[in-house]
Amino acid sequence: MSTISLDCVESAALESSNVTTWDFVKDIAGNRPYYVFEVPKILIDVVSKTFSAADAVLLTTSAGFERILSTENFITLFQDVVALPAAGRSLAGKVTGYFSSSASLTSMLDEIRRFSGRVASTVGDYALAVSSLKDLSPALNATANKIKFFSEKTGYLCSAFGSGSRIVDYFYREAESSSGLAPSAEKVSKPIVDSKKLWDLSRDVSLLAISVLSVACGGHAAIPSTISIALSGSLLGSRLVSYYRDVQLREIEKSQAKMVQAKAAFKK
Amino acid sequence: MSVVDVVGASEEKLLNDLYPESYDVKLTGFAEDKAKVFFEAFANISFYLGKLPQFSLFGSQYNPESFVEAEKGFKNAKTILSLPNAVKGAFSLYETFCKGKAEFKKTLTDVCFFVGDSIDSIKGLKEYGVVTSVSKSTFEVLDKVKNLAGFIGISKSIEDNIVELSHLKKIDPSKIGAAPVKNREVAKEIKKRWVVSEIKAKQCDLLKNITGLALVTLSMTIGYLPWTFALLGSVSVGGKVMNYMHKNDASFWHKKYAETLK
Repeated sequence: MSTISLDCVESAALESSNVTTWDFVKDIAGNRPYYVFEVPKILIDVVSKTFSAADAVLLTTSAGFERILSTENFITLFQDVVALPAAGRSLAGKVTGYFSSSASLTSMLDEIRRFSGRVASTVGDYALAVSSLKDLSPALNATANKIKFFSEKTGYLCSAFGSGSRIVDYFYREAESSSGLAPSAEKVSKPIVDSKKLWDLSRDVSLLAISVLSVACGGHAAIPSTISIALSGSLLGSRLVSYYRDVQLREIEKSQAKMVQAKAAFKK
Repeated sequence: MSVVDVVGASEEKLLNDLYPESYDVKLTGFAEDKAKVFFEAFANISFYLGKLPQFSLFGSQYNPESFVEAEKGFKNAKTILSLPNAVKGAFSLYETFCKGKAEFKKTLTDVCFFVGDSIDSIKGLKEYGVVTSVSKSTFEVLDKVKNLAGFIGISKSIEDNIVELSHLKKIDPSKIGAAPVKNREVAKEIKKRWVVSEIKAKQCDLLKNITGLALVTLSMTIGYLPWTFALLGSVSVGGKVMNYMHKNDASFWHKKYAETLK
């Protein structure tokens, strides 16, 4: 009987991991609103570039979408700031652990690198958010200049360091503990988790490339348009697939709760 | 009454090992999932900061005017983020009409929210220069349509909230039926937390909807009152944030409850 039950759990996990395109698009519209603007923006840019169509309407539309997308910088800055105390606590734990001999020097140094990466990302996002103030309202340009503590170049350098740190994490961070799923469901979710990590890596590589090129070319706008479109496309693609994996994992988790209850009812 | 009064010491240890996501993790998720509310909150904060008198701090001049501008900017960002909601609404409506089996009241609510989000999207697109050909008078008419649609949609949501709350309050968490569980007392406690989180989430949703209805009613009758709108808006944002947090907790306890079953 237990084999039958486990098979049920596995098949439920498999079934729920089949998220349809339709459901995924609805989920994106509900939970990742910026992707809804990023897709048409990149399409417009590709059309303008491919057909050399410098149509006024296309240019205005693209600029409008660019302004909308720049407001996302406020959200990323907020997320970074909110996550910093926990990262600080984790670092403090490692440092005290090292001095009480419960953590190795390597793990402490690793935590210091991770924390520095987070601080760098926050600085980078701050610089970008300040420069986005003028997109929020042109009248805020003077305020932006007043609170601009870091140049855009410093911001991009810090972002590059933050992305680099996350890339290092991908290769060296030990695997996380079990997800708490039943073994048969874990079998279904494992490849999805691995794929998600790979797409997150791709996202960080794209971010790193954008940051490095922005420093090298003297600003994001100065990156050659073909490269800029390609990198933005790769960034969006990575984020979309990674989010798709997230949705799949969420559905598997939901199916687990239902299946365990159904299993209990069946045993009864 | 503490957990240890209800369950034994060993069960208490089991329960102590379970904790939902911390507030910082939930807030991070909230900002990403509910970007529109995030900007609504920042517009409200900017409103309050803009009302502070001008003063000088460490040689730097505090200028409330910047916050007045920031408030407008955040409101515009909030408005444009209705477009994804309108897209989602369009998808839901398409499904409803294709399947053709949805209850009339539910379809009406969906239509109302879709209309409201679409009108906000047009406004947002105009603010960001993507749409240029809509006149001021058209917007005045659209605003009236939006308020009416909002009034109908939110009223129906309030009714749903009240019905769902009364159902939830009827659940007795101490009854877990004859289902085989690993530890009966722990299962009861987890079920209690699950139900409590669900009730709190629903209450916050109700609070959000009641303030929303008050805002729409005021817009239709008296018009825009800055302080009243900011205060009601803040309560509404609070409701949305807390609803998200409690929903997150509820799904955590639901999962844990399922795990307690053998």
